Order: sequence, then structure tokens, then C-alpha cells
Amino acid sequence: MAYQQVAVPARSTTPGVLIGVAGLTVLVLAVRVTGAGEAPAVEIFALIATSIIVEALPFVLLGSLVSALIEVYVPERALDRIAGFPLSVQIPGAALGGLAFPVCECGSVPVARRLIARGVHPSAAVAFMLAAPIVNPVVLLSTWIAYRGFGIGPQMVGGRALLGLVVAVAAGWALGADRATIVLKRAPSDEHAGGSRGGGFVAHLSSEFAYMAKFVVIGAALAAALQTIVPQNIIAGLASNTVIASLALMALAFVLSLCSEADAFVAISFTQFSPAAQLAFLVSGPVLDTKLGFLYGASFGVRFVPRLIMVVVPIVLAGALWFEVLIT
Amino acid sequence: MRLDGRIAVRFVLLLAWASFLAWLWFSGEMVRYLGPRTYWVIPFGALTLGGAALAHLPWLRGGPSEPVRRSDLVSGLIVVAPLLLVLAVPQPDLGSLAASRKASFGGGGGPALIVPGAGHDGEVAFIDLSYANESEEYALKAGVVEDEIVHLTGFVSEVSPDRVRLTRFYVSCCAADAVPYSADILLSPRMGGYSQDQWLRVRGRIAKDDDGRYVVEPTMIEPVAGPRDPYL
Repeated sequence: MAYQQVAVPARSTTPGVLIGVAGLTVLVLAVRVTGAGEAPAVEIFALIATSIIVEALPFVLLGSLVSALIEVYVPERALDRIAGFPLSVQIPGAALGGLAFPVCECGSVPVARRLIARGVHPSAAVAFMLAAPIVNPVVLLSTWIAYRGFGIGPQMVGGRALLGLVVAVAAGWALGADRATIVLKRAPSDEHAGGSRGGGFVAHLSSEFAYMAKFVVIGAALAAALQTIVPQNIIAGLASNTVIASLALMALAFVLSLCSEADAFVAISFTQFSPAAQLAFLVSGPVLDTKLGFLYGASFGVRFVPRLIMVVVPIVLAGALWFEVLIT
Repeated sequence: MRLDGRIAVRFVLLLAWASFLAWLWFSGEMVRYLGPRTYWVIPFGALTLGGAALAHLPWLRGGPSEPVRRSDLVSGLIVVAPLLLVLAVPQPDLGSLAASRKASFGGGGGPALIVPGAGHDGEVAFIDLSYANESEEYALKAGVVEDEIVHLTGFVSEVSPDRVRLTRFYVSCCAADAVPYSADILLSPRMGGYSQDQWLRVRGRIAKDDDGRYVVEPTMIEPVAGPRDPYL
């Protein structure tokens, strides 16, 4: 049985939008004429926000493509068969399924949305969504490449994969168990165009993409604003204690909103921080960051993000401490 | 048969972003936004977004369709807003302000310190000088020794009476993950007049300052235009 969706109400179009377009055009011209765009803070904001979006949008499209394929071409009985397995099999199975889905976090959210909408248990879909950006082969390979020069490549890859799977399974179990936590919001135009399968596929692809893309844009803008305003070196003094250092790097990961396929190359630059704190950065970043906060909220409702934080932070912290004990 | 407004809005969104990515691809401007590891995203994105836009064409003129709703248009405006930002700020750079904001966690050492293994045969570079100030072992492996000749090109991120800090960002994935690497260039009394964000080409030799940190004593400093690829 399909998961209940809550429609986002839509309003009719008005000339106000045209006024908005005209206003934005005037704003662009004003910025160019006055030279306000040459202010360093504006340049940093523009560059960081645009770069995050440029990098994320193709993956949002890829995720929307898979989502549309699931919606239109995967038969009901195939998903019913998956839903028939006990949860104790579904959840770890879905998390391990992330090994075969080489996209970053922006792509896994629309897929999870569609799986839930088609009747897959939310616990399994959330486990897949959180695991895929951490344990997919591209991410693990990039982690190994980044850390091999430090002589701890295998340890970091193993630690990241294992802790990522634990976080995904635990969060799937905890969040999916309470159906009130996940209120699946529906894109305003989840419809079949033209009545044909091809038309339905295109309609789902584009509505999913448009719905997700706007939250990527908003999240990227917030991440860029934070990076422009907040000096990151303020956390450099927190490196000596593993607990505080791990929490500090998790907070930094939230602000930076990096792609999981390259975040290891950033983590290695935190040379004052222990490998355990860096592991916390690598596991928490792909499941909790600024742009994801908007995507999760738009997809699963406002309760989802705080509850996810309550599950992820303690597990990652405990995992980082264990990792420190194991590699020293 | 009439134009399906909602499909048309999404077609325009996809086409606009595909066109922007294609422009980044063919103009070479992608080096401003992404790092070498993710350059492939630009052609991949241009082709997939363009393909997705073209896939909408058969359904642009459909059967009976719903009118475009305000929510669709507002969403569309949000998605194209970054493109308007690019028009307003066409050639943004990470400069000295970004260097002061971005994480540069080297320099303090401490019990947790780890630095990468070195041992390359190339010329000593910004990254080597930064890590060398954290680990003598690294300095030896990277060939960071006093009197070694170095060539550096970067922008001025800090200016003081006796030195300038020359910086260049390393971008792994995109500009959001840029990490600044710096080298201090000592100035003799007849040198000076450099300003923040000015690009300089420096030739000099490695020395140690009074604090025992590796610095560069220049034999030549030349103002230059910012390079096409501003990152390491």
C-alpha cells in the first residue's frame, strides 16, 4: 500500500510574478552598474553558492531520473515483494543497496521519496538514503585516495563504511518506526502528462527535479552566506579534545555542505584534528548539512531533521571515539 | 491543442541550466567554480540537463492542461535565481577576505597532528611550505630546506611592513571546499607598495624567520594578472 502523501497547496498564477521577473532584472542591472557585485563578500557568496548548485544539480537530475523510473516503470508487485520482507532484513538490505548507487546525497533523497511513495517502508528508504552517499564505491575510493598518503587509507575507508552503515540502519530504524516523523510531501505537480508512460516519465522527472532543485538553491545560498560570514578558524582551538573536536567538525560539515564524493580531500586539510574527528566529519557531512536540511524538510516534514540530528550525532560521536581507540 | 504552461516552465528551467553549464564548459570558466576532480560534472550536467529539456519537447503542446500556478513560477524563479546572480557578478573570485574566512588548520601542531607523506621530485610549492611549517619530517621529505629556490604565483592576502602573505586556494571539489595555502614573503626596505588581492609572481629562496618558520626571501617580485585558473 502506498504511503500517504500530503499535497502542497498550489495557487493560481498572477501578474505579480511578472513584476518579480522585472524587479530581478532591474536588480541585476543595478548591481552591474553600481559595481556592488565587486564587493568581496558578494563575490565569495556568489562563487560558493553557484559552485555548490552547479555541482549538485546534475545529481539531483540523476536522482529524479531514478525516481521517475521507479514511479513509472517498476511494477507494483516488485515493490510489494520488497515490502514483504521483515524489517530486520529490509533495513540493512536497503543500507547495503547504497553500495550500488554511486551518487551523492542530492541524488539519494528523491529516490527515497519515491520508494516511500510506492510503498517501501520508510525505515528502509531512509536507511538507503543515508547510506548511499557514504558507502557508494566512488566515495570510498576517493576516501582511500585522500588518506593513502597519510598511511591510514584502509582504516579510514573501513571506518567510514562501517560507521556510515551503522548510522543509516539506526536512523532508518528510529525515524521510520514512527510514521508521524515522516510526512511525505508531494511535489505540487506530481502528475502524468499526456496519459502515456513516456509522458508520465517526463512529468515525474521534471516535477521532482523542479521541486528538489529549489531547496538545493536555498540550502546552497544559506551555506554560502554562513561561509562568507563565519570564520572557520574559530574552531581550530577545539582540536585537542576528541569529543569536542568531533562535534566541531560535525558542525563544520553542516555549514560547508560538501559533496560526499570529494569531502575526504577537504578533511585531510584539518591537520590539527585527529583522524577520529575527521571520521566524524566524513560520516556526518553526507547525512546532515545545510542544503540537506532543506531537502529533508521539503521531502519529509519539519520533524524529520531534528530527530535525525538526535540519532546521528551521538552515534557518530561514539563511533569516532571507538575509532580512536582502535587505530591508536 | 495548446501550450502546456507547466511543462513549458520546467523546459525553460532545464534549458537555462543546461545552457549555463554548456557555457562554463566551452568558455573554460568552469575552473572558477569547480576543482579538477569534478570538471566532468560540467559536460555531464550540460548533456543530461539538455537531454532532459529536449525530452519535454513532445509534451510542450499537449492535450488539455492545467494553467501555470503561482507556486510553479515561484519555484522556477528560485531555481533560475543563481543564473541571475551569475549575470550580476560575472567573474567572482575568492580573495583575501575568503582566505580569512576559510579553514586553514595548519600551524598549531599538537598531539593530533597528521600531515601527508611527501617525497615528490617536483618543485617546492605552496602546499609543501604550509605543511613544512607543521612537520620537519614532512619538510625533509618534500625538499623544503633553506636556500632552495622557489617560484610562487598567488594573491596577497595579508600585508605588513616587513612581509606579505602570498596565498592560493586549493579546490578539491568546488569553491565551497577551497582551502587556502600561504607562504610568507619577506620584504626588504626597498620593496613594498603591494596591496591586498594583488597577484604577484615571486622568485626567491627558502629561509627561516626569527620564529623558525619557513619563509621566502625574494630575489624578484613581479605584479601579474590573475591567472585563468586561480587555484592550485
